[in-house]
Amino acid sequence: MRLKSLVLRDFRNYRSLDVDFSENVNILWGKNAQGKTNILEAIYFLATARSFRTLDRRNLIFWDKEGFLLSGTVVNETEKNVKITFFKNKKSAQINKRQLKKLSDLIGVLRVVIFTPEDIFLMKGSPLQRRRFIDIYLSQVDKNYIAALQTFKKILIRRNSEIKRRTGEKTPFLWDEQLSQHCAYIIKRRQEVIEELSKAAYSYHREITKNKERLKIEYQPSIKVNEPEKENIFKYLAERRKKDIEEGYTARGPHRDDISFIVDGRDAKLFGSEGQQRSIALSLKNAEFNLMCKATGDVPLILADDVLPVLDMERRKAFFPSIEGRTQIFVSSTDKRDVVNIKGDKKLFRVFSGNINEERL
Amino acid sequence: MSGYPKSIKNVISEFKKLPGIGRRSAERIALELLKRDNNDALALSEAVKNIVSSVKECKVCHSFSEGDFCDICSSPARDTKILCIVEEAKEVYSIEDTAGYKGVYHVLKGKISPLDGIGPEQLTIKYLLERIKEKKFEEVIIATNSDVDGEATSIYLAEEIKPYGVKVSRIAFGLPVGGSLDYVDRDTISKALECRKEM
Repeated sequence: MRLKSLVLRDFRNYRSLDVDFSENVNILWGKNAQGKTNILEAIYFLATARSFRTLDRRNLIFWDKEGFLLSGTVVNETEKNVKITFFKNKKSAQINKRQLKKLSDLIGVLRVVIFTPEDIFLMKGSPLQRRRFIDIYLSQVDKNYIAALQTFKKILIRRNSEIKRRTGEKTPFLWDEQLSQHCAYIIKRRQEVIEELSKAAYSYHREITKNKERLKIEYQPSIKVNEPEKENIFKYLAERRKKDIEEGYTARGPHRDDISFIVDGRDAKLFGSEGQQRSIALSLKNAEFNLMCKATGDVPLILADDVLPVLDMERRKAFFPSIEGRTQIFVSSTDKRDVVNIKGDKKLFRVFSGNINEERL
Repeated sequence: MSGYPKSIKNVISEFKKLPGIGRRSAERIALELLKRDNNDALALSEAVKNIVSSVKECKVCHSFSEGDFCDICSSPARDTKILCIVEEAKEVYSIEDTAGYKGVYHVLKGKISPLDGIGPEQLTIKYLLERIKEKKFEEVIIATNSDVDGEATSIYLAEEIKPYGVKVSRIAFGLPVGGSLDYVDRDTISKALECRKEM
C-alpha cells in the first residue's frame, strides 16, 4: 500500500498543499512549529478518521476558515481516491467520489502505524489511551469491530441513562441481550489481538534489550468470564445489575478494559524507567506493524513523528532497519542528518511555515 | 422574504415548519399556489382542514382512523386471533401493502428510547396489555424495528405479554430478498442465522 499524493486545503497551517510522495522514504525536515507533524496528522486522519493529537476537529481548521479538506490517492492493487471534508461542523467522506454514509466507512482503505514521542503515554497514561490504541488497530483491520464498537457505545449510553433516571430494576437491562452480543465480539477480538501483540513484541523486545528483558503484554478485561461468549456475558451483567444501580452507571464492560505491560514479572507502568518504557512502546509499535501486515496481507504506511531524538543510538540502530525497504515511510525530523541515511528511494521535503519544497538530497 | 405581503409571508413560514422543506422550497410552493388556478390552493387548504377534523386515532389499535374504529379493526374479514405490534401507524400501511397479513394491529406510537425520555409508560402498552387480557389472541407478532431501541422494546413487550400465555413471536431479520451474502455485514448475517427456518 502506498500513498501516492496528498491534498490539503485549510488544514492546520496549510492553506493549500498538493504533494506527490516517494513510494519509499519521505523525509519532512524543518524547524519546530513549521508544519511537519501536521502532514503526518493529515495522513493519519485519512487512514483512521481521527487525529492523534486532538479530539476536537475544529483545531484542525486553518485559523480564520470554516472547514478543511483532505484527500489522498492510495495505490494498492487499484488506485483509490479518499477524501474527507469538514465544513461548518459537517463531516463527509468519499471514496472515488462516492459519498460514504459514515466517516468511519473510510477506515481501512489507507492503513498506518504511527511512532511518536507520545507513545510513552501508552505506558504512563490512562487506560483510555491503551483502549484507544487497541481500538484504532482493530478498526483498521476489522470492519466488524468498528460496527460492534459503535453499537456497543450506543447501547451503553442508553443503559446508563436509564440507570441514572432510576427507571427501576427492569428497563435499564432491556438492552443487555444486545449489549452482551457486542461485548462478546469486542472482548474476543481484543483478547486475540493482545495475545498476538504480546508474542510479536516479546521477540523484538528481546532483540533491542540484547536478551536482557522479557516483555509480556496482558489483556485485563473488565468483564471476567471463562469464554467471552454472549451467554456468559449476559449472565455476568445480570448478576451485577443491583451493583450498577447502586453505583449509578455500568461499571463493567469493554469501556473499562485495560492492558498491562509486564517486564520480567513486574508491571512496567509502575516500575519501568522512562528509557525502559520507551523501549516497550517501540516493541509494541513494531509488533503492531508486523501484526497488521499479517492480518491484512498488506504493508501499512509508517508515520514516524520526530522519534529519533528520544531514542538512544542503540535503539535508533534497531528502528529503521526493521522497516526499511518494506514499506512507505514518512519521517519528520529537525535534523536531516538523522534521517538521510535511511535506505531506499528517497524524497526530501523542507517544511517551512505552511509550505513544503522538495529538495535535492 | 421580507418584501412579500404579510399573507404570503404567513404561508411561507407555515410551509417552512414542515420536515424537508427549507426557506427556498417554502417560497417556491407559496408562489406556485398563487400562480395556479385558485381551485388548487383551495383544494389544498380544504384537504388540510379535513385531515385535522376527521383523522382520529382508532380506539382499539391506535392507528389512523376516521371514526372511532379503523377500517381494519371494524372489518369482519380480519383474523382477530393474530395481533401484530408496530411502532408507528405508517408501518401498518407498509405491512398492508404486502397483502399477506390478515390479522389485526396494535400501534405503540413510538419505542422505548431513554435518550428522548420515552419509557414504556409513554407508549400505548397499557392498552395493548388490556387488549391481550380481554381477547384471546393465539399469536402476537412483535414487529418493532431492529435498531437498538426497537430491539429493547421488543424484549420489554415479550416479557410483559408472555405471562398471559400467548405465543409471542418476533418478525424475522436477515438477508434482503434478492441480496447476496457477500454484501451483508456481520450483524445482519448472524441475525439471519438466528432467524433461519426449517425447510
